[in-house]
Amino acid sequence: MTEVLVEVEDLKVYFPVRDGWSTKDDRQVKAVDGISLALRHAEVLAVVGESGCGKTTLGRTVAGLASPTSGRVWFRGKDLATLSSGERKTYRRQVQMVFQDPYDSMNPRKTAFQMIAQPLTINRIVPKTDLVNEVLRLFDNVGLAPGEAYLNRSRHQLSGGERQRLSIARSMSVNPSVIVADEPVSALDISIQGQILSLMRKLQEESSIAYLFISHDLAVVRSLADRVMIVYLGQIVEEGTTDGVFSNPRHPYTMALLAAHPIPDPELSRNRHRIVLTGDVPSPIDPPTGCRFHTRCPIARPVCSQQIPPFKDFRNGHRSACHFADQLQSMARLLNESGPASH
Amino acid sequence: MDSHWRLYFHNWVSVLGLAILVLLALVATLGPALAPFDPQDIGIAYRALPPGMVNWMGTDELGRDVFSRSISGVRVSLLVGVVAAAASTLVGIVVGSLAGYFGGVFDHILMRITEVFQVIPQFFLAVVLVALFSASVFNIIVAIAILTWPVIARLTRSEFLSLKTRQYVDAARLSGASDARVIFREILPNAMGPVIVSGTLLVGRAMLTEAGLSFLGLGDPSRVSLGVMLYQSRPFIQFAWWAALFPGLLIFLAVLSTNLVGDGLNDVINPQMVEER
Repeated sequence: MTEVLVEVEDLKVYFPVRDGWSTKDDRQVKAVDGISLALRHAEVLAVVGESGCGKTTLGRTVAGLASPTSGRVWFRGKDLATLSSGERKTYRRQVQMVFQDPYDSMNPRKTAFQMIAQPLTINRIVPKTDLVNEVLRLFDNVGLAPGEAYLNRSRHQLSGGERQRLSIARSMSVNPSVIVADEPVSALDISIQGQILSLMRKLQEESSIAYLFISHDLAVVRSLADRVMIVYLGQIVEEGTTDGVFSNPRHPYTMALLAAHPIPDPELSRNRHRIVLTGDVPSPIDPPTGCRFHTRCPIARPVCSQQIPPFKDFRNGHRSACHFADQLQSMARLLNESGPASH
Repeated sequence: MDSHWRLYFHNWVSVLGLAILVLLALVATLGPALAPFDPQDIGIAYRALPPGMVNWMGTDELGRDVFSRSISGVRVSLLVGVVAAAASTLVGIVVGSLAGYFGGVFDHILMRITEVFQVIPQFFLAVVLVALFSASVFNIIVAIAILTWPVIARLTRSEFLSLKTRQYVDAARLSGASDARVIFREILPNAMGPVIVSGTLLVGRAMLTEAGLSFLGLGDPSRVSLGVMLYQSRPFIQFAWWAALFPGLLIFLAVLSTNLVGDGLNDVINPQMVEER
């Protein structure tokens, strides 16, 4: 077993609905509500879910940008809450982040050079005399060539793809062991997405970085991830190896996500068991009782709204939190044969 | 950014404002060298002379040359306006940055203090302050700065509240940047635009407040300011109107020009608002 870099145990991150001194409204947005995970050396772990399910908050917490309400985050066996300020600096370096919006992740008043040089000088990665060379090396590493041409550009002089390459270069500059990638390609054109994904894969193979890869795009996840975690309303509903989850989903929510995703083969597309989601994600302020998915689940039974489903384990660490995880395939088939329901 | 600056010069009104302001600033700096007479020189024989070849703006009720007095008046008014606006902007930026960046209880305390200053009738507070601590130019500047910093503080705070959630701020934190570095290198440069616009508008407001205080007899008696000139010439306005008209006109021009420059800067900073017009 390879080394566990980041371990998260029963993490909860709540945000108050109202801030300040007012005590009238003590409701909380339960962005992350009891998630545990382990990210190993050189592994790509994907976190998948709809917008508002807490995946970004999870990523920010792992990167140290948000603080847990309860639960623990360990890095290389050390509890983040107990780190000394020196250790915290090391942690900051070790866990970097690539953001969703490459435009917003660049300071409008800084050039590409300043953006990459900042982490290098703050963390004293290279002596001042080598600064330009190191920046050029990092540019080259992410495919910004010739590097000299990019040094003095600011964000509006770069294309979306170039900006995200620069973002990746910035995160790589401090030699991290973990990169939290929060929807790194969803703001990019489809043609650029592939380039950025293959760059990320290349860097991961070269430097054996672990990615916590946050995405809602199943095709992207499938092409990159070793393991997948499906998140719904701040909780994990299913997790397992990418192959296991994609070929044999054990949760109706996963099946719905897969069904929403087009398959290029019409034969396969027609014959698969479709679960179509209706409605919106319920409010994370006041999540549904029992199984949180029961309000939208097409196979929900009375038990679903009363009891929280425990995890059921399958092969290779594949597990699912559904009362009917074992019978899911046949239930879905029945649902399909009974004909198209309301639409 | 260079192309944005051209926007300023596209609007002839802003250019006019800048031209007037530059002219007044030149007058203020050259000051005594331009004045044909000593502004304090009393001449009983030359009382209340109308504008003419010798006294271009006439003389006042004590025979002092209005033109020479106006030159030193512009000097005092601009000094008060610029220094008071700068001081209040500085205080506002510090308070607003800290409140906006650190948030929470700290923000609450700072903002409640700010509101206390905002709910007190402003001109009344200035009158009380100046009356209590003697009417000197320094005290007038301090009183005006105390009145106006809350505006800048609230503006800076709101800029910080919005800018601190930007991803580049998070990215800087991940780069290992300290709070001070994030505030000064990442957020403040991007928050400065609207703050500078408001600061420029404050210059005009400060000059008006100084004129108002002087008109109530709370001006610095040892300095000739435009407001003091208005105050002294008021009883004699029926037979020496020029002694009140010219300083009044100069106050008008000075305030107008700073407001025009402020609006012009605003266009530079919010170019999309220009396009929508």
